[in-house]
Amino acid sequence: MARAFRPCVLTANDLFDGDVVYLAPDGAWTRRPGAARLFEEEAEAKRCLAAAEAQEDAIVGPYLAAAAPGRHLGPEPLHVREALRATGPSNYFHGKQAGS
Amino acid sequence: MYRYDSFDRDFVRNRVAQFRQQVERRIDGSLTEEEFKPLRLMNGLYLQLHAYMLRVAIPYGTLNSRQMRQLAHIAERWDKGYGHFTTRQNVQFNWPRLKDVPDILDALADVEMHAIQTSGNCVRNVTADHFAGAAADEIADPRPTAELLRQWSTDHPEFAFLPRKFGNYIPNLTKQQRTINRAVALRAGADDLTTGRTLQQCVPAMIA
Repeated sequence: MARAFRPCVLTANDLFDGDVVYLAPDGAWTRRPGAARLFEEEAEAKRCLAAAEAQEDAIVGPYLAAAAPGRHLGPEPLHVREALRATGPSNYFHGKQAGS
Repeated sequence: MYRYDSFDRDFVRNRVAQFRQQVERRIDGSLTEEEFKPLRLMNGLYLQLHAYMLRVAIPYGTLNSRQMRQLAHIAERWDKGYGHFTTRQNVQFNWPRLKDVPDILDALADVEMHAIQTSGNCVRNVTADHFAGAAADEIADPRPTAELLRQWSTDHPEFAFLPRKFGNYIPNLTKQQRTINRAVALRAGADDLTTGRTLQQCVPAMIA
């Protein structure tokens, strides 16, 4: 049985430096997870995913990741893997944390 | 330690030049990610959770000072100033940019190093005991055998596409053996200690 759709963000890795990126509401790719667009409709999420898969000149491996509306800072990841991608490595502050 | 001859130097340089073209074609859109992925993996370049990662082989864990300084130079010029030495005697750079990787590989070739066969289902970097040549109770120095195995397995077409990756480890047989999991460990058999002629494959252990 197919899983029920859950709100999600569209994420990928940047082609040039591999950094984690998210699709923003304006259609651009942002490196700030809090600036990601939260999809609440499955059809629209799938349409944007298909469009992202055609953007091989900018990103690698786009997919939809479950997320929830955050209280202050935009969508928040639900899975621990996505939480790590959103913040950077957990040992030292040398990923996204270093720039925040 | 082993020094490259002209064949080795040409082979590694040609491989870097080939990969440079492949990176250019990926960036200009001539190659899709599906086409490019196996090519970058053959050259030790992964795309991991947060960034690209380049894994560089250090055959049987032996480095000279010039190579060590070059690794530091690469870390400072093209990465974040550090690298990660692995238990399998590689060094990993965790934040390289795609366009810089061919330059990094050229810098490695300058000191007779490369990242070939550090990824994929092939025979990986040959490892040896980290006290090779230094342990007082060592029975046999594993490095000459490790070098033979490295030469035999490098770019060997029969072992380029195995069902799974394959690591080799050559211990040096001290009284207190250190336990390391590898796909295959080779050690000198009892007879070899006197004749020194053959090696006995003894421990098909686990593929980690």
